[in-house]
Amino acid sequence: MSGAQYARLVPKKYRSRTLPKVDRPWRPRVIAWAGPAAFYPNRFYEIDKWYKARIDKPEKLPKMHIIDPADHMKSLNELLAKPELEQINIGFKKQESTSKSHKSEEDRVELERKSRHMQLRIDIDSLEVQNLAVFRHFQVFDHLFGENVFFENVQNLEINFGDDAVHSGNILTASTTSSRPEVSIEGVGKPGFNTLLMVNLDGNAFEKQGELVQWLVSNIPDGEGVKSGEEVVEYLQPLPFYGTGYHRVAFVLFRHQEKIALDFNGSSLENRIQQISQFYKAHENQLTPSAIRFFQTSYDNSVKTALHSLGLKSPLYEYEYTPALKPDQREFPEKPQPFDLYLDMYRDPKEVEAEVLEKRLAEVGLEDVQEPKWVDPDYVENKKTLPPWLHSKMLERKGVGHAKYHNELK
Amino acid sequence: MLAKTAITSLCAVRHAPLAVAARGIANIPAHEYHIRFDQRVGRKRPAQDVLDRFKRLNNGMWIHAHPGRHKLRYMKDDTWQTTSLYYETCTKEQCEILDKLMTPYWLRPKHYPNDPYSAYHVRHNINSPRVDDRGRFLRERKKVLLDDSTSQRFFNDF
Repeated sequence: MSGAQYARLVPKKYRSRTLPKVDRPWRPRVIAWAGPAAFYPNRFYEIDKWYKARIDKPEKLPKMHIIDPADHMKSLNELLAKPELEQINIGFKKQESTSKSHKSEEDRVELERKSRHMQLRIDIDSLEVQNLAVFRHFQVFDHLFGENVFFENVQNLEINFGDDAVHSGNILTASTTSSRPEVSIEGVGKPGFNTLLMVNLDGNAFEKQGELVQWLVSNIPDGEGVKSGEEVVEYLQPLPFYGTGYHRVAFVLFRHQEKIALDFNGSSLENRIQQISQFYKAHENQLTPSAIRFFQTSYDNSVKTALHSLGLKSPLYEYEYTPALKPDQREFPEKPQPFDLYLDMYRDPKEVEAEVLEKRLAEVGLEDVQEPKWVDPDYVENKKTLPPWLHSKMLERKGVGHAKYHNELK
Repeated sequence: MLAKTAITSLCAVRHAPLAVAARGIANIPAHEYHIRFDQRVGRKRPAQDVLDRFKRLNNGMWIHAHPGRHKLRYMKDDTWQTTSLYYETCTKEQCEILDKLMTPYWLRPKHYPNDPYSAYHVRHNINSPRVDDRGRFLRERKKVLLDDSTSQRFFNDF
């Protein structure tokens, strides 16, 4: 019964003349009916909420890729090319190798014939391959000492993690580097000292500028092993965090005449961070770099255990993609839209993830996550009976279909 | 000669009846685009054709398959081959018309076990107030007595 019907139960002479008006919020109803502009003071032009005393609004320009008209004809290589400056050698002068054999014309012809017939054998181990181009390509010198600087390898330095040797840029697994390497340094035969520095160029996860010093042994007498030197910074295995890709780890050998006192405060992870260019600048008069090697590592389970033994947690780095652009949601879109894709676009990603997890648990157990051999064994039947949007969801191998069977963190 | 007639009688050609009403946009039977009332019951009858061809989500959105998706598929391009399979949304006007062709029973929210549409029955991130044709508020969820700031924090669906 409505209010009026109830009122009619009372005889008319005892009734009030009008029904009591219940005050209900009517404004949102009108807004829903007539749109948000219903109660604007002036509905003919947009209301301006900016304070009038302010002279100009901040100019909002869309971020655009700016092309300099003077450069737009150049190729990418030309644009990225840096002006070539003369490189400064901060190390020792390279010794001229005198054992260059002169070949006669007949030998050359013979060699050429062999190489043409694929019979020319070269023993790679006997070759002395010291190509600084690899170091330049990985920008090892740039990131250690600053730009336009290099030095030659003049002292033989052999570093072995068990069976794996460190050359120039080879990839080692993180677990092989868990204990300190065997190092043999060539003795020059003159009185002097060596200092060995091991640096992770990409391992700094802190705000502080610098590189992560993994190991520093100073004052190694000439011709002796690393054990006779002073270990200034203890050995710590390189820690390429999950998701940070390959880290470059460099071994730099310095040569100096007198003993040197290097001070590092503590060997905690944060205290190990040191700008190598500043370190070198401070000791430039004593130290001269004489050899360099580097390798690359990426994440491994040993990194996690090493971090846990330090009392730290293993951080996971993920790339944050910019979310896809989407139009404003309309309650009823003007043009017909695929309903599932349109509504999915505006759903909470967390809810979508929960749905994926639900599906995963419904289809496979937590333990045996096995991707089935066929996505849809009765394709023909499903093609006839299922609605196409549902069937295409079943068939998809990317997105949800991928996440159902592949757990990135496991 | 006799054998030949026997064969022809066996393989008699069946001609399609000429008067098959091709059901196109031009000739929809008149009783289908009207609101029909049952004389015996004295109530509105839902348009069965709408129930067959359309689907109403609980949030009031009607969806339907792309009309003519089976026609001359081989002539049409790859994009069309995929997009023609989509189930499309209706415009607001169409939704209102279809609602009027239904009885209150079909406008009530429905919940089925293992419903593939279950994720799409609730609209998210729509902040504008919505009313039905009689000016009553439409809600995705039961009204909970909360102040606005709290409800906006915990419920992003209207």
